[in-house]
Amino acid sequence: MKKFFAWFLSAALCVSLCACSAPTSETSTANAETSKSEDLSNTLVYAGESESTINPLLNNHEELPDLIFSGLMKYDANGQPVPDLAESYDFDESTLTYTFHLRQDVLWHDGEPFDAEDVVFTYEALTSDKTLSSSITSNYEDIRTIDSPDAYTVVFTLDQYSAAILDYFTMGILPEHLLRGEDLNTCAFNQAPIGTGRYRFVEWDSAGGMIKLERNTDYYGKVPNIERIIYRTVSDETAKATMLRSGEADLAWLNANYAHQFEGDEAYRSWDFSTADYRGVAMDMSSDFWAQNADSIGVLNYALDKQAIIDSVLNGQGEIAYSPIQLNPLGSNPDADLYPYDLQRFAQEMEALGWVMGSDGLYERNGQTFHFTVQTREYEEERVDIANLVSSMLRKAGVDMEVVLVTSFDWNAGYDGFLAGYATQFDPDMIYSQFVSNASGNTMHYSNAEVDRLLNEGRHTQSPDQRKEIYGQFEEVYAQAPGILLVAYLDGNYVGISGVDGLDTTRVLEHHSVGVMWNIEEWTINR
Amino acid sequence: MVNDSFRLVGSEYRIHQPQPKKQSLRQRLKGLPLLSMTIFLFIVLGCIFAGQLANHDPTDFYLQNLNEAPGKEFFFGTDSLGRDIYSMIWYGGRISLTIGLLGTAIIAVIGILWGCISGTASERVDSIMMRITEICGSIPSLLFVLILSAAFQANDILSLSIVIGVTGWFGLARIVRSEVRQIRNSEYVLYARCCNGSFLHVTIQHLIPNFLSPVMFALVSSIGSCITLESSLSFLGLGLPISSISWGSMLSLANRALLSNTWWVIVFPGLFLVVTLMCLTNIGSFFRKSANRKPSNL
Repeated sequence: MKKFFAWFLSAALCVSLCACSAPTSETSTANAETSKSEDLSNTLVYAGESESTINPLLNNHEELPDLIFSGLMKYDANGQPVPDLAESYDFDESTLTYTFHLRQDVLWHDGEPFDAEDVVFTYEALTSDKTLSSSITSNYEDIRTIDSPDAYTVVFTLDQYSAAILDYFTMGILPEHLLRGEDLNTCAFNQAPIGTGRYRFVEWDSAGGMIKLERNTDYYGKVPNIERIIYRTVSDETAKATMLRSGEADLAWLNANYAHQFEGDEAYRSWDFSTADYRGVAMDMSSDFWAQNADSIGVLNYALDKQAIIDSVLNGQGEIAYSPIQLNPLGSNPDADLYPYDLQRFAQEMEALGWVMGSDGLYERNGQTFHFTVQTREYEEERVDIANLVSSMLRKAGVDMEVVLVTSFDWNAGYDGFLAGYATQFDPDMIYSQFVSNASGNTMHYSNAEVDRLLNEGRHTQSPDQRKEIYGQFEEVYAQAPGILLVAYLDGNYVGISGVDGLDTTRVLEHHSVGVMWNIEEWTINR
Repeated sequence: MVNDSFRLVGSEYRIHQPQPKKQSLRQRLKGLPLLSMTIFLFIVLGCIFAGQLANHDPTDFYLQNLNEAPGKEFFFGTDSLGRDIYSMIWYGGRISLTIGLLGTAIIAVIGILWGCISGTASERVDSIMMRITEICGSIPSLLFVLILSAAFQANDILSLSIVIGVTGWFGLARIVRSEVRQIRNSEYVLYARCCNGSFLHVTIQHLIPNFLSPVMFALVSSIGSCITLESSLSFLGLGLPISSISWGSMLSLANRALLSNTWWVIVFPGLFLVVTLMCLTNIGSFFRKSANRKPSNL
């Protein structure tokens, strides 16, 4: 938390004091050499999020795993799964069997050939490694057996039909020859990954905050135009905007207000992607407060002027959120939009729930004040602003939401919730692991029997029309007993120098506007 | 007594009664840093009467008035979330000045006590105590404050003042000690000690009144340094939480404002901070000059 940052700063100050006295000639010549050897003309410097591990199984919502690794399938521009490491696949409906015929010309970045062993290893880890700390293992529950009859064929048998399983076969494949017997959560591989993807990992300069990648010239598909990518790990939004201004970065995802500052400047270009990324206050349903007051989350929506938040924090670039799958083709049931901004209605509903306004202007029930704490990472300015505005609006309505700024989320400190962001940009089944009781990504401990039933049904139904109906029902059921106080969907604003070209805004981006590099092989950079 | 045998004669006989010369107000104020004092008084009064001066709620977000330039309704403009800078300045000044005064009070208590003990103690104790202040004083104070605030989770006014105070008294202790060394063998001090006057009695009755004016400048300027330290800490995001407004935490929005070209978000709190510090420095240097000019009162 703050404490950590303070220690870090003190340490940094100490080090810099020592460094001042040390002879500096050595380091400066070293710097000169590296800058000489690196020709930056065909290099993209990307200001991205901070990273700690690069492993598709552990970080499947980040940009780098998608560049370094590749999966049996990949998403096309419209978010549909198409074969990637597999040349083709067959699905036998009667036996629920998927047979993947693998490419034979694929090499790992270390030169070893890729084969079926690697696929079997990866999916065995996902389905049977109980120690794996991954939020998505629930997506692979329906896989019963994984076999490789020969070196370039893999056969998966399912227990029951699973609508989104082809989406989940996009998971990046890990090299069996390097990871057999290693602990996937902690192995050194996570900081020096070797994949089959479009870019190969070169170096992680953690002191300088950059990860260097080089294009994979042996790639089995189209080899990217841009030779090198330098991924700068900065999470601070102001820092990203400043780096872009000062020429230290070529491309970055900025919040709407910062992106607006670059408009009309000829040296810069901006791309407005649509995303399925929402912001809301996710409540930890296992905390003492919400365990007793879970019935009073939905009502808070009445007290929020969400449009005003969008107009200020998001510079008008957003949409009022009422459902977690609102921007999904199978979602967006308008009947789930239950809560207009209406303070009078709020007061009535609170009264109906048994809350009484106390003398301090806060609601009370059973001797308990309506007070809960929400953690927010301090460097995510747009979230901090949303949290502060939500808190101020709720305070005026009689509810005390205390915003605590942290440097990294602390799940054991007893906060009642956090300022959350999620996205369901592909199949609506992506929310399964987050909302079904005890599923792998259900970190907020949400549990609702009706939601469990509907999401299970949605996963195992084949017809898109029927699924749309089921997910529509889910939206209504969830809106009545939500675990997240939904605020807004945001646009994905990317800003780059004018020489960057090739970004394709067809794709709906995910959380944190990740996925922008889906067609990186087509990009070019011209300084 | 009137005696007729004698008559006092003289050209113009008058009893000489020396009139206490009444100094005019102007003369008494001569040499005082009047401008600084007036401005400082004005700022202090403004902060005390923040409730009357502010025309908006300093913690509220006026979402209809984002990034508004200074004008009729919002005198100093609003920031990117519609907070009124003018109202925040007065409320923020309260916290900044409180920390300045509280920190200085702590510095004064520790510094004066340490200096008096060291100044009156034996050679050996004195040199140990002085080496301690020198060693601690050689650590950059920002580093010291960072370490302490990390260790003690200082994020409210009181604990922040304590952290700032505890790390800022070394210079004062040295000045006090050298003053005490000069007067500790004066007759009145010796007499008081011979009459069994306790250490505290001697300190309060005899030592402090005699070195107060020379250390006054150190005290006044430490108000300024406490305010600066609080601002730097809040600017780094390590001081007060954003919810408690101070000039420092207002300045922590500065790099954001730079990107969105809203100069008033940076300039006004910065101006108030700088002007306050300049006034304090000016007043402090007046004390230093007048202490140097006066003959020793011993």
